[in-house]
Amino acid sequence: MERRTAAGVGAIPARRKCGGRDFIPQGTMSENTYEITYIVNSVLSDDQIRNLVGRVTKFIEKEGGNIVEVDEWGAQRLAYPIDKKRTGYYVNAYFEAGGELIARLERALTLEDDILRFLTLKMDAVMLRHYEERKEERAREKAEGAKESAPDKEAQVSVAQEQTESPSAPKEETKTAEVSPEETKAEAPAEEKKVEASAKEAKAGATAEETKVEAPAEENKTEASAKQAKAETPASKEEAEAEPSAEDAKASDKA
Amino acid sequence: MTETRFDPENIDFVDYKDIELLKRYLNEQGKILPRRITGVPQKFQRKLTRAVKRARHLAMLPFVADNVR
Repeated sequence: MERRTAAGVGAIPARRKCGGRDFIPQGTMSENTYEITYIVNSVLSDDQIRNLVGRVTKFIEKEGGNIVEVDEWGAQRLAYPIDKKRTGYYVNAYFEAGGELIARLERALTLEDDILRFLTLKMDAVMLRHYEERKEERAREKAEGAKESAPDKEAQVSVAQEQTESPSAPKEETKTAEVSPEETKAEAPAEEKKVEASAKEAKAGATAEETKVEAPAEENKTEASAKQAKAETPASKEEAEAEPSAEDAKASDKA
Repeated sequence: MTETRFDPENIDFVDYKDIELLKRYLNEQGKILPRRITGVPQKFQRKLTRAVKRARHLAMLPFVADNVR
């Protein structure tokens, strides 16, 4: 990775300064980094597609290119039909090569009937930086995904956070109990779910990672507090019957 | 108002692969919105336009949206 950055970014000012390709150290054919995206006919069988992608990759290597990454996006719907096909198998590849390779590569791709489209771009310093950033982003996402599968430490942290947030959950429960006092006991299981849902919604503002990790612990908690609410219902029932309109007003205030 | 969506100063390359970003600057017909509506700097609009055209070539964005055709 380091080497490529040096070849791609460093080569441009170096060449301008020295005014020729002689400056490029011997043994490195690679002058530029290129990005190529091509669409393979997705009507082909998986084997045929793999074969074709392998052939393109090999072609680049054989002709003196250096493959950096081949990213197969897979079959995607095309935004408009190409050769009467509505889907295509996208392949996105990065490679280092001399400029003279590109003409040959593009000619080979044009002759290939099962390649519907391709786009080759020479990556300048800005694009390379963008590419690195994207790569890092993807790596980070992956790392986070791995963390979530083993969330021991984070779960503890989230419990502590929940305790500060807990007052919101019971409030909502009492509200629902007051609104329909006679049906509370029958509805209790459904209500639990409701509360869980609303608690989750309330927390939706938190970062994605947090919510995912916290979700299981939170469920237990809201269930527990829902039971509390059930125990309280007789009292709130009387209150509600005594002055339902006032209670309603309060509930809406709380909400 | 439209300028607050994000800070275009921070984006020095508009990626043709970032379809979600590009779609924000298209109308429902798939046309590129003019700068007087998007309110982005000229520099950014140019990058955007190039990226949209690349994405169209690769059939990742429509030249003409399906609902119009």
